[in-house]
Amino acid sequence: MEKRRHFFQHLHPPMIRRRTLHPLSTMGLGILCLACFLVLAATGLTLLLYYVPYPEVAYDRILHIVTALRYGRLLRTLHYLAANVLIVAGILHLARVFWTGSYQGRGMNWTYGLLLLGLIFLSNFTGYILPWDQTSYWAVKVGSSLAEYFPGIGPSLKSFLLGGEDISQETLLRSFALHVAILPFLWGLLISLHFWRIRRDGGLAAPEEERPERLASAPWLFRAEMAAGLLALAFLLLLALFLEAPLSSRADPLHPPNPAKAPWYFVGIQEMVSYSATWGGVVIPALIGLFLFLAPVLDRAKPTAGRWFARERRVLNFIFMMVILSQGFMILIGQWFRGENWVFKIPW
Amino acid sequence: MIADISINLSGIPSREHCLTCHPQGRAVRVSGRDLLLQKSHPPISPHSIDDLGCTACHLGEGMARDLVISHGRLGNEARKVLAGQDLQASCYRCHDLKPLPGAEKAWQGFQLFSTNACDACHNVDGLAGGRYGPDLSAIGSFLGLKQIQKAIEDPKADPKNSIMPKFSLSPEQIQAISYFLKSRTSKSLHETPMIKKVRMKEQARIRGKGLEKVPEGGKAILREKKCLACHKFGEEDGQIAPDLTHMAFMRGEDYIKTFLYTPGKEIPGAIMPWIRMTQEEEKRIVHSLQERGKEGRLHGTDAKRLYMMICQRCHAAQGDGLGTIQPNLANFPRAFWKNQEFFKRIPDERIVKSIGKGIPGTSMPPFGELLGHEGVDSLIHLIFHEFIRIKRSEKRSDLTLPTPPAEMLPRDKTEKDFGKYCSSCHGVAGNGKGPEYLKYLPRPRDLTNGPFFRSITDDRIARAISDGVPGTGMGPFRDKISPETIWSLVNRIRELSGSDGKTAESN
Amino acid sequence: MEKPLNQINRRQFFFQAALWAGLGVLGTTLAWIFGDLWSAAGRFSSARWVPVTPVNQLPLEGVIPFPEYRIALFRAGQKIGAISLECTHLGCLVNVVDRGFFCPCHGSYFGPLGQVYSGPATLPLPWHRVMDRGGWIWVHLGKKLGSRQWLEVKQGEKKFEKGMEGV
Repeated sequence: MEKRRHFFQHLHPPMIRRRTLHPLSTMGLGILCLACFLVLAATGLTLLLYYVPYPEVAYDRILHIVTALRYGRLLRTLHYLAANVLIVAGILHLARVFWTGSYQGRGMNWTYGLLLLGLIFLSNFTGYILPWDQTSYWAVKVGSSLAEYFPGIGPSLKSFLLGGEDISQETLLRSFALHVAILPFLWGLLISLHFWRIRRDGGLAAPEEERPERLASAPWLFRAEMAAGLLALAFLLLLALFLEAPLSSRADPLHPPNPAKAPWYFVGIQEMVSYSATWGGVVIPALIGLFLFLAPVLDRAKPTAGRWFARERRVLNFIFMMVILSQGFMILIGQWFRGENWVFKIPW
Repeated sequence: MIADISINLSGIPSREHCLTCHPQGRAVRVSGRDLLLQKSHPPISPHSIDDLGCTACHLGEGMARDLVISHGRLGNEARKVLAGQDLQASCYRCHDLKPLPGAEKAWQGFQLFSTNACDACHNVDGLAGGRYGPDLSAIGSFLGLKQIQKAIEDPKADPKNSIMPKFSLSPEQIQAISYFLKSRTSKSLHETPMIKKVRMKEQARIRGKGLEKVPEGGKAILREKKCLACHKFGEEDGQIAPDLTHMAFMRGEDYIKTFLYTPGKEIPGAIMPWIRMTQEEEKRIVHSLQERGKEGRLHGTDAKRLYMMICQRCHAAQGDGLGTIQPNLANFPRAFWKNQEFFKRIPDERIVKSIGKGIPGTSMPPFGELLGHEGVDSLIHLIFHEFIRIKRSEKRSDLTLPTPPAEMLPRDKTEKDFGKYCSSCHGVAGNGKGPEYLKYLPRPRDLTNGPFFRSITDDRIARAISDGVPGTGMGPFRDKISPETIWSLVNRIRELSGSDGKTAESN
Repeated sequence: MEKPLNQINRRQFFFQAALWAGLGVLGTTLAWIFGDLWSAAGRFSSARWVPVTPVNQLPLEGVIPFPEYRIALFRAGQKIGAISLECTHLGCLVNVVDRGFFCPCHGSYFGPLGQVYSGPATLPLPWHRVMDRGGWIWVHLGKKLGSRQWLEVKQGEKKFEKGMEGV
């Protein structure tokens, strides 16, 4: 007798290939991203009850949440941790897809994925501004000035982000609107498209097999997803025990901290810009972006979907490795090896 | 239940949770996990907690409810909770600057701010101060009491290149000034921005008129215009700046007038701020300075007494150049003690000339007329005998000057050389403020010092580069760079200082 | 019997064309309106004249910063100029140092007239227009100039103003 299928079951295919359930095939990174997103949604909607996006009071509100509201600190910390873990998870997920060549034949989904990565950065950046403390204010200063270096669209981009020529209450309002409404709308849209395409493209990528072993998705896939999701949640909660969302003193436009740094995920670009504005701020990020977007087109190898580090794709894999390592290195230097006046210093 | 009160004093309501832990404003003690109520809030009539809330006077972060943030112990502690005597620092945020019972120290601080010439360099809105140092109109919103006190006590701690002198104030006086400054905040609680604009314009107009009554004779004008807050004149001494007792006699009226008009012109790098004054006031000042000078020269005075009276202030009692006012001078006073090598290399005539005619571009005035020929000679003997400890005639003549080349090196090569060898100490612009300059005392010479370089020959500059200058951080470069480079750099220095070697007497 | 789909008469064609044209116009209009609303921020200018200081409060030589307006005024005798204190690298407020300006964020060093001495900034500090009205110096904020602009203040022969009427 056929069991009645519900919405959650309809979202998934009835049968899946057994190979794709193996932890090392995807490492559950996609589910980690989704779990982070759900935590962000839940904590974010709750924070929304207590926050006011007006420069004079935004900081006070954060103080209220963090010190006067019961579980407020946990709430904000989870939101902060999930946001940062999402960046790392997103990039690792991208790396997994790239190095297994799973984007082959799935150009549309790859693009959706990249757009989601862009959304990750935008959401993180707009959220960073909301506490309106010294780090927020000066990160916007640095970030918007970095944006201005883009040829052509730079100045328009800057005035869009800032809501004018300078940082003002318009900036805070815009960041807030983007962060809690416009971007979440795009998130919903892109996540749906991303998941739909996975179904359309025939499920998770796996290498060709003569007699592929298949399993019913209920209960096996659901159990795997549940396990990955719960592990992700446990990981976030564990981190919340040791780490705390930072808060510095109130924003003071007249006194920049020395040095003023962009958030960690942009500090690599800031480091590159400190060598050369055009190369570091525009050319290299553009080249990286172009490389990623065009990867399915550049990839001439036979479909190797699902195989890690396939030899046929070694050139592309190598280039990608270099990109990841170099950008990671830039972030490392910018974050820990730069002191006052951006002078190189050993942190110990 | 969390106390959640809203008080509106400045137009934007501020919420306070203070009463949650401090019911009725009582002091609290934390014991384990319990909050033990201590004594009740002292009577503060005509103020009341219902009208003003807590943070208006006590500061702190009203919206927080933990121990650290709520008591304002973050960053610069600008919102750190004020208690006990420190509470006075809040009074003048609302009250007009007039004597106020209960805020005596803060009132004293306000007066000290003026009499000690703080307003000569620092502007505080409404007091029409100078613009030489950072504007302190909102300093209370940026720094805590302790930080303000530290900044007055040890000005060169942060930033390290600060030119603010260390004034001789007692800890109580510094505390009083800090109470006044803490009340200068960015958001006023008692006047709207409009009223403030009107008030400032009126005050600017009144200030522009100068002193209401210009005092007649003697030191009064010097005191009124705050000269004596830094300088010495007769017996009164601010202990920051040179002794003006004989200055008009030695330097002449024109020098004094130029100095008042543009302090940095005769001595580039001087930290004296420009003091706004009317023509009448300027006349009186010059007159006062000249009056004293006429009292007589110091001919016939014993050399030791002369040293104590006039040299010690800069060159120090030990003769090591670290005199009382040395940190505030643009050029380091020459060290005599342990500086034999320097004096072995310079001709005796130069020493006589330095004392007799002074050193242009520096704070060393011409003492010739004041001391007389024998006075200068006996002073030099004393310095050699007591401090330098070599015979006045002991000189070395083995250091040869590099020969000037037929043609100077091309300009861009010289600029590169300057950047490579000189700029780390002397700065890219040659003003003596290169990235390493704080490591050296005496500081690297300001190569843009026109008056100084106009008084010395090319040979002397070339020698300084080639042989170095003993007693300073300037080492010999003869083994590192070629003679062409040395002379091309001399040329560059001439450009930077706007001087040429022809006007200097040979030395 | 149904007509084949690729056969329509003139009237149907006319209506369909009109419909599509109408939708096209509507779409374009909506796109224009929304585009305008989303890019409106770039059209608001905060350029304005502000009174900075009375003329008689300015020393006769030197550079005076006004961080609240993010500008510094310099005066060389009778000439007054206003320079922006916003570092051209990433917008931090520069400090006034002896002979020039220094940015505490990344160490950009500018000369006394805003020219770049050392990076990472690559553009010189821009200037602002200056005006003398009612005894006060007014500066035009929000609009940065590419070239330097000096204001000549008339003060007559005497060195100091006698009984200065401020406002």
